[in-house]
Amino acid sequence: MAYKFKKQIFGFMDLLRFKKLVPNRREKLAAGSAKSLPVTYRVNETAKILHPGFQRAKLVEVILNTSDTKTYIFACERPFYFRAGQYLTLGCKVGNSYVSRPYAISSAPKAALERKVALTVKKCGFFSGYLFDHAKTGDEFTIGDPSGEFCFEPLKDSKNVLALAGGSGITPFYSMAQSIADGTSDFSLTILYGAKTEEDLIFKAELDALVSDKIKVVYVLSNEEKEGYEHGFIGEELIRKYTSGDFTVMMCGPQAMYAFADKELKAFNLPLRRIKKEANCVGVRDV
Amino acid sequence: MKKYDAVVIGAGNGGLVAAIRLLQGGAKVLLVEKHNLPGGFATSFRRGRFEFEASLHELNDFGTKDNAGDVRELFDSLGVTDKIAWMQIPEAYRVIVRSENLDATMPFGVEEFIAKMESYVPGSKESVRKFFDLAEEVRLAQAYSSSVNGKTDSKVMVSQYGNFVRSGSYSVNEVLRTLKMPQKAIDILSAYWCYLGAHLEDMSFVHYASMVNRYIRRGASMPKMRSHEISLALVSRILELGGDVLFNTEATKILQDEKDGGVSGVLLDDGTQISARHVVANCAPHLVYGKMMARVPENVIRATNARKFAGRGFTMFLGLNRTADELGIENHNYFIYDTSDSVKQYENMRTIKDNSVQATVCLNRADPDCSPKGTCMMYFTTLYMSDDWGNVKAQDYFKTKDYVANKMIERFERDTGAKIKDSIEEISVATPMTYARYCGHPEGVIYGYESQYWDGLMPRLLMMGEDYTIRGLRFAGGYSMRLSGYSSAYFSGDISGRQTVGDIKREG
Repeated sequence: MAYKFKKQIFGFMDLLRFKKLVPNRREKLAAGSAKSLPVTYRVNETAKILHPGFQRAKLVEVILNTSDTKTYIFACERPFYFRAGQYLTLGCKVGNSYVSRPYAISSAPKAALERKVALTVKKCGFFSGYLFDHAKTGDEFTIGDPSGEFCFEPLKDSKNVLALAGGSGITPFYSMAQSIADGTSDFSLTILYGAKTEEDLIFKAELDALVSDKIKVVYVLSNEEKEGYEHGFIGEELIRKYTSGDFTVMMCGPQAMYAFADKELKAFNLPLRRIKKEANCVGVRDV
Repeated sequence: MKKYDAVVIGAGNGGLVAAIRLLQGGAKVLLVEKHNLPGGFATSFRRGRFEFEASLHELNDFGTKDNAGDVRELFDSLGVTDKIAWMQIPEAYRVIVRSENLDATMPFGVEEFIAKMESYVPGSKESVRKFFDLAEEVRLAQAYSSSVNGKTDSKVMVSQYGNFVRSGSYSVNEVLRTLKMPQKAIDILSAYWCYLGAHLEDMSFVHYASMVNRYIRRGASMPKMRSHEISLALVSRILELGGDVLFNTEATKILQDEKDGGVSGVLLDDGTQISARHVVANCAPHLVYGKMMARVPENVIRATNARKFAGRGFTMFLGLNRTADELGIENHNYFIYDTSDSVKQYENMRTIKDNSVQATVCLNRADPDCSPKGTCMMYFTTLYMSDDWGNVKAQDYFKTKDYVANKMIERFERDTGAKIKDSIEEISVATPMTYARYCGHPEGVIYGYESQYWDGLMPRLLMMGEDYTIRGLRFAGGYSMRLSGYSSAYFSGDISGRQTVGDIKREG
């Protein structure tokens, strides 16, 4: 090409400068500190709390919530953190098989920083049945990374969240309610909690204790008519009664509940972004 | 004990290519990857109806069949080009610096670029043409250097690539000022600087010019089905060539020979010992020397401590329930800055509080079908030029993520006029912690070692031989000799893979 680049008065001075690239770098590398290199870094350590990977967990307390549901409280190897509404896998050896299942976390995220986590599980399948019938304090388990997107998303969701809970589907919402109460999360939560009878309600006392200007709990009994409770199923009428304006729906419960709720929600013409579902309680399979 | 000629640690862009080169060179190769997927950053993930591209904004130097770039030729030579469906990016970039009234959209094609620049900055075309001529000579000099495996004849360099040599020790700003380019043209031309992560008083001219030239001359490409597809194609090629690949397997230690301190094997996280005299490490030297090797010579520790970590990554992914047209997202990729002064801008990118820079892509502008009908997808990336995220405790993590994400959304809306907040259907946010988690990078650094004035592309390439200090240990990926970026990482794997083939031939 015609153009000849030179920066200094004489091109050869630019050449000399180029020749010094290697000696300059060589010198800089040799002048580095002889201090040993770090074994870890703050960001990486925090990442381990947010994503702890598999760890051991010892069962330290078992609470009977209802006739078929228990809460299992674990002391874990390492502190971790999660968003309310997430789940984690719990596993152990049953007979000659290693079995694990994902269960929604019922404790607040803050507790995990103290290495404590609680899972609330309804007896309805192989592993949940094993836990209900055999798990006792002192038993050792393995737990996995908190996972799932069934969480309040401040940049997308309405600050008014309507939670539709069926049966043991209350679990993630109980974690959310605690998370609001302890200041971790900031949104309004109205829970419509459906169950067959009053006895089937998990965490009733605990939820009642959390009620505030941010947390509202409405119990909907399908098989009973009781003072202070709604009766029937969670349908359009009931939803209209407890919502106004823009709201985000989060649903967690048995499959049948989703089919029914989807139908009932059609009347509200909500865009996809306003509805969140989490699968819960698959039950015994015939596989 | 299982024995291999070479173990490649990490199936990132560099490691994947290194493994193929090793296999093509006849070596028996084991590739270990601690994740359950290949690719490192080169991957995708699903949320709801959307499959997000994790990191690739636009692939440099790939080109079309009739305008092939070096990366396409590399992929041809690896045997993977045809495993991937490619598409072209429609335009080079839109750079917005509202505070300076700068809003320029630039095309691909050297003539088109020069003409567009002239329309924004009358009188600029001579200096901009000089820039491209210089950049093209840089490219030819690099090609010559590759053809002789780095062992250039200085007489040839001075006589045939004199401009390259004479400009080769200067920063971007130093050269552009020497070319007497008008400031506004410099501002528009500099837009790509955040792809290399060093400001333009530091960043080597030949490095920047090479990248810009390759973008503008060849256009930029994207795999239709995300960078994940490239990673899959590379792994499948490795398997075709008879390589062994272990996923969910972390290499925890590089074992050393008693006598010469060189590589003797690799220890895996399940306790398995692999015997091998060669390792290509697709991870940070800080990690390798910091926790994977027992005996690291003092000069290596000093050299590693002398390096400076480059930017730590942050990316927000949005799945929107309206089309790009409906939302007013006009372009494919945006560079949004507070100032064209890259030195000032770099300073403002140190902290979470001050950083408002973003390099933002709407993939639907390149591929309208990349998300379901009636929707579009965006990803917004920024860098942190200090370890400020190290100050964020776990309990403040989600709030901090949301704070930055919200700032990014508001900034984009304000500077482009698009309305996106109320159309967010899916949102996912990656922080330095995310990159630390998936790829093990120290501090969540995604750009390797910074292209500081003394530690830029030229001296690294010139010192490749000298930087090979521990027998059998070579590096690939963003921390190595080609610095960071997709095409650079692929080339680093090409180089270290072929160098290791040579090592194996020489010493067994």
